[in-house]
Amino acid sequence: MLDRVFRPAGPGIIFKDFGDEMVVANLDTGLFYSLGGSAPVLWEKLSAGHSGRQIAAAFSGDAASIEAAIGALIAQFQADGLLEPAEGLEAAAAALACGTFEAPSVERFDDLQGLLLVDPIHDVAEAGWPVMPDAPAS
Amino acid sequence: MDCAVRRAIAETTAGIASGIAHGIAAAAGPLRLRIDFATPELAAAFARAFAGATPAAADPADDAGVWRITVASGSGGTPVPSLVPAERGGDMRLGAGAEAYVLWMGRHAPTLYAVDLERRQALYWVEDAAAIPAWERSRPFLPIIQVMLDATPWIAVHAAAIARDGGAVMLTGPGRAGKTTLSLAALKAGWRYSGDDYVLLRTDVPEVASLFATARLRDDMAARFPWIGAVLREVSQELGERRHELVLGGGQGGGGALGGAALKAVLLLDRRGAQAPQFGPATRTAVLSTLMANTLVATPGYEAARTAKVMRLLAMLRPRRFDPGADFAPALDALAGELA
Repeated sequence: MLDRVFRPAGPGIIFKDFGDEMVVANLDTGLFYSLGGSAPVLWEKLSAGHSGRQIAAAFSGDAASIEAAIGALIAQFQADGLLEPAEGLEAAAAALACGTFEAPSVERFDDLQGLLLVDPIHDVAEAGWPVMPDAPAS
Repeated sequence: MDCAVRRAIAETTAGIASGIAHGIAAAAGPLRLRIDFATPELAAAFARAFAGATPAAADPADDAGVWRITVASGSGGTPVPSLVPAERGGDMRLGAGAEAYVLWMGRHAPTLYAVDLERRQALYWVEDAAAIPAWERSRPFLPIIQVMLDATPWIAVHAAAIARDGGAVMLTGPGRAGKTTLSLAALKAGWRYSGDDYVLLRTDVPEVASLFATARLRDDMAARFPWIGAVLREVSQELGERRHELVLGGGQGGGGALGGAALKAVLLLDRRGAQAPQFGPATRTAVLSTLMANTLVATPGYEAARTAKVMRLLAMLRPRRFDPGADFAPALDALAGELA
């Protein structure tokens, strides 16, 4: 996992770094994530095409524990549908310097998910809007 | 889909046999709206809900840039639009394209919202005007208006807002957080009322504006507002909860008017039992999640672009938590301090 390259898992994943907090939203599941510690840096580098091992090497600190923490975070991002493997892509070549590693934190907010589960909305744009028999599809 | 929407709007509008019973003009942030009602019953249900609405001119001289919404019903004699699915129950169905938008509300209410973005024309069609839900009468055509706002920096968000000379405060929070009560208390105290449920938010330069002139007050809160009898439209009951449905015109009981202002603070209402008002830190994620949850469900479509708009605003204003405490007056004093 640490040698793989990832990317945000589709257009429903949006994120913004506010400096003191990074927000990642999965609009498909309705979950919002507040990233803290080194998690914003990890998200930024992972979504830019760097492998977990490259990022781990760019932090100062105990390499084994940093790699373990990054591996766990990647697994969580994948499980929550935030990142997906970028098959066929090589890891980005740019050199990284990420400073001191801080334990990543991820706080999850599920206000939207709760509503979506109760009240699913079916996007039919790709299949075409249902029309009555006397109105041929365009 | 785009052609089907365009055709359905044109056919349905042309098929309103009785002609337009009543039309209003309204402003919604950057939008100029003209809303035409096919029947007096529909006009009675919706026309007073819009802040600052005026009767529309029969033949407007300056129609350029105006968005038109035609409001019709099956019970009023308008045939079923061709966009209505054969299966009318079930989940909501959405089609959100580059030039057209269509939403069928399914089991919630047999209601169609359709927008032709290129021609700036929209259609609201409901099967039975007598069965329009109270939430729709309180914030009419919201999915349509949201689509019209998409090409602008504005968005309609699930929040309350109040304003004074110094600016506006936006109050976010889930249902029962106290948005309506604090907003109505502010109105009575002379603040401007921007809305208790949905307000217009400008996201490139922080600003709020009123869209609707309505409020939905829970039954157990009504006793705190003895003046609401003058603005009470009805008492509704949805999902076992009674609500006092209000239509505000400004000046209630010596109170303030409707409107907005430059946005100075975004607060997450969070009652934790404090006696006196208390502010505290809030993450942007908590506020974004609360703001967008109801917004994205009530106005589905184009979710990424709409969420990105609000993210842009939250980069300019750091939100905070606010426990208003036990009494309105000190809470409003604390909010006035946010504007100083």
